[in-house]
Formats: sequence, C-alpha cells, structure tokens
Amino acid sequence: MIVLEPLEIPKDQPGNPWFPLPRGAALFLAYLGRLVYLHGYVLSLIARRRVDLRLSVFQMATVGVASLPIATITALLSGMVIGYHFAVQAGQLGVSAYAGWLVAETMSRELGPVLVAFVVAARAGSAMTAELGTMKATEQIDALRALATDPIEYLVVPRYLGAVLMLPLLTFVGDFAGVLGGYVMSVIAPQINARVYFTAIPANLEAWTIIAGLLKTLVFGMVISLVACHEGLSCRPASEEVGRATTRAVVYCIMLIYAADVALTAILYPG
Amino acid sequence: MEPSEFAVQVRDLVYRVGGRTILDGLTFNVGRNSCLGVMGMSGTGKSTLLKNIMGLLRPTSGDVLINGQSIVGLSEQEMAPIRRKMGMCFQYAALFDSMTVAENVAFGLRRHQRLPEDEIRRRVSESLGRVGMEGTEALYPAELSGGMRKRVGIARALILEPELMLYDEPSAGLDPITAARLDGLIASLDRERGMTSIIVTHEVEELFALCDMVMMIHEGKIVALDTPQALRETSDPLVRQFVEGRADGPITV
Ligand SMILES: Nc1ncnc2c1ncn2[C@@H]1O[C@H](COP(=O)(O)OP(=O)(O)OP(=O)(O)O)[C@@H](O)[C@H]1O
Ligand SMILES: [Mg+2]
Repeated sequence: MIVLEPLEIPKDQPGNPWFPLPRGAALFLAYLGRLVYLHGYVLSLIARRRVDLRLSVFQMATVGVASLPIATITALLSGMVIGYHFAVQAGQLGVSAYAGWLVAETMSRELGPVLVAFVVAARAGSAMTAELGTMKATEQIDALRALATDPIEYLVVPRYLGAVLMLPLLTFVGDFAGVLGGYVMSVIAPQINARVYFTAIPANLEAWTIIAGLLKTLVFGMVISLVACHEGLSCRPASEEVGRATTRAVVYCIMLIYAADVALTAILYPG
Repeated sequence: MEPSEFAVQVRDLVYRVGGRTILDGLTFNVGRNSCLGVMGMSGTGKSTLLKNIMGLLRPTSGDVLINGQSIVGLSEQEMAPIRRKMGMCFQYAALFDSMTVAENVAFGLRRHQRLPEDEIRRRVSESLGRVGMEGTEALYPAELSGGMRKRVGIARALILEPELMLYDEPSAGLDPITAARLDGLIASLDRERGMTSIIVTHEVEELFALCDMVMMIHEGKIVALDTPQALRETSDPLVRQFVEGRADGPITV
C-alpha cells in the first residue's frame, strides 16, 4: 500500500521519472499526488458504503469535544480584537453603526472558517497523526491488515467523516462566538455604540456569506483528515518519527488550508 | 481454478529494502495440512519472510501463492478474503493497545461475522482458554507481560479458525511449561483441524517436535530444507552448528 510507505524521491538519477524536476518540487507533487490518491480511495469506500457508522460517530464526537472549547475561545478572542479595531476605524469614517456588521462579515467569510480549521488541525489532526503513527510503529497497522481489515476503511474513513462533518458545525459556533466577542468589546470600549452593534447585522449580512464560509470548511476538513492520516500511516517506525510526523501534519495542514482558502475564496465569493 | 495441493508456494522470492537484499531468491512449497519450521540467525529475514507471505510486504521480485493464487500486487480489498483464511502471530504480538484483551480477541469475529454478543463472549473466552489466558478479558495490553501479550495475539489469530497460521516465535519469552502447552496446542490444531502452519522459532527442539519440514535460512538464502530427522543427522556444518547451538563453526557473529 503506497500510503504506508514513507514518501521519498530517490536521489536524482536518470531513469527516475521525477528526474527533470528539482527535488523539492518533485516531493511536493508526489505529496499532492498521494493526497489525491488517498482522497479517491476514501471516496470510493464511502460510495460503496464501506463506512463503519459507530467508528465515524465516535470520531465526530472526538473531533467535536476536543476542539469545541478552544475553537470557541479562539473565535471569541479574535472577534474581540477585530471588533475593537473596526470600532475605531468605523468611528473615524463616521459609520460606527456598521461595526457589528463588519465583525459578522469578517468572521463568517474568513476568520471563523480559518481559525477553527487551525484549531482542529492542531488539536484533532495532530492527535490523529500521533495515534496512527504509533499504531504504525508498533505493527498495529500490519495487525489490522493481517485480520483482513483495510486500514483506510477502518481508520481513515471515520476520521475523514468526523473532520468533514464536524468542521462546519464548529465553524458555525465559532462565527457566533466571534460576533459575541465583538459585542463584549463594544460594551467595554467607549468607541463602539453597543446598542446598535447587532441592528445592522440582519439587514446587511447575507445568508450566502455564511454558507460559503461553511462550504470552505468542508474542504478544510478533508485537508486536515487526509494530511493527518497520511502522515500517521506513512510514518517511519520510531518514536522520534511519530513526533516529527505530528509536527509535519500540523504545518502541512496550515499551509494547505491557506492555499485552499485562497482558491475557494475566489470561487465562492466572486466579486 | 483447480485447488492447489500446496497451501503456500514461494517462487524465487527476493525482498530488498534500503539497498540491502534481505531475502535472496527463496523457493519452497508448504503442503496442505503440514507444518514448516523456519530457523535462522537473528536478523536473517524470518519475520520479513512471514510478512511477504501475509502480503504485508511486497516482494521486490518473485511470487507468493496462497492456495494456488498469486497474492503479489493484490489490493487490500482483494487481499481481505484470502487473509480471512490466514492468521498471523506477530513477533511482538502487535495487540491493539487501545482495546481490552477481549476486544482484541473478538476483533476478527466482530468485523467478519455477524454473531450475537453472548456467542462472541463465549468464543473469546474459549479462545483465551486455549492459550491459558482465561480471565484476562478486561485487561489492557499495557497491563500484560510480554509472554501474555504473545498468547493473546495467538488467541486473536486463532479465533477465526484460519486454514493457514503463521507463527513468529510463538514461544519466545515464555516459561518452559507454558511453551510446552503452546506447542501442544499448535500440534493439536494441525492434527485435528487440518491447519497448515509455518513456525519461525529459535527453539530447535520445538521445531523438530512440531514440524514435518524444517527450513534454515542464512544470509537471505535457503541453506537447508528437509525433514527434522534428516536435519538431525546432516553433516552440513552450518546446520549442525545452528542445531547444536555452538559459537564456533562456519557462522561467526
Ligand atoms: N526498513 C528496513 N530497512 C533496512 N533494513 C531492514 C528494514 N527492515 C528490516 N531490515 C533488515 O532486515 C533483516 C531481517 O529482519 P527480520 O526482522 O526479518 O529478521 P528476523 O530473522 O525475524 O530476526 P529475529 O530472529 O531477530 O526476529 C534485518 O537484518 C534488518 O536489519
Ligand atoms: Mg523476527
């Protein structure tokens, strides 16, 4: 199984199909290729109903419980910060009444989805990599296979569903927490008019803005679960390597989440 | 397809990793309902051979056939029905450490058969009983000793009543009494259920007592493949040194 092998490109040598490319570019392409392969594998299993419901629900609960408190607090605090900045600037522009709306708009378009995805990557994604990497190092993945159980079906599909289904929910909560954070600031900070904080929101915030933000998180959930599981499964069998794989998983998640964010924002919010 | 007379056929198996050739062209057959013993120096590639037979590692070249069907290059999903008839006892047990002993042993049953919960419980305690581990259902692998883990690993593999069992040093780390009991179990499974087994072990006496054929691997190649009787009487200095466990001889460490 290709995803169980550590990702390596043989040293530049003729006859190696990656030869014309610089090593870094070759590695990057090979890595993306693996994620696409793993994704296709997972989707084909889901299409054939090879989904263990009990394990999937357990993963949703794990991702949700692990990430909800930090995701909410992170969103709340960043809502407070941007609420403060917006209040000052809206005041200077003479549109203080719109401060609340601006917070809501920023949270649902960008900060909610991305911050919550980062929290889930750091909290749940890293745990997935560490768990699968340890299973790899102690031959438990081989034991699964010897018991006629496909590790992708048994381990990756539930984690994929857990992350993909929970991320929009967590983000929705995060969006609310952010707007609330802005309000808290408006009560404390003198520049904002707390009484009009919420009034401009319903009139100006469109449903699509929120929905498009949640759609983005579906893709972020895919990125997190696939990267985290791939790093765990392809981990070399050593405890130091499990640590490295876990760090790598979080770093790759953050970079790929932002890369996906750029593409998705252009697609989902045209003009 | 004509059912093969051999449970396992290995043809010119080469396994290379990290620039080293671990297995260098092994060819042998294991007849149905027979027992092959594998011995060889530590690090010579015995575990690697078992993993190639189980399809956990992919041979660099050569072929492995289970019941006459080649397994090289099969996907995990294609491999599953074949592996359901195989069992493997790992050298370091490889128990699922987040599950209790009972959950470990029941794993194959739960995944591959629909059975009522009390039937599963009955079969789990029966399977644990066979390896002398009754009453440990609720413990976690971390709460077991190495030899206990090993036996739970065997119970986990045996519960599906495989036609072919691969044992990687089943009695290493066990006291002589438990080891003898385990040998009795393996022998009776082979005799009564017609199980085929491949046993990797350093216990030369165990090998000679249990196996119909014994194979010795050295530096990636088969240096001897014969009946226990013939190996006992061989004049091959390599085999003699190993069987007698002497430090001086053609093999130097
Ligand atoms: N990933 C790897 N890279 C390089 N060499 C490896 C790798 N995996 C295994 N080996 C080598 O393969 C050889 C065979 O290992 P294996 O575990 O099969 O030995 P063994 O015969 O089972 O030994 P023991 O009796 O000690 O269990 C060893 O010499 C080991 O160094
Ligand atoms: Mg070994």
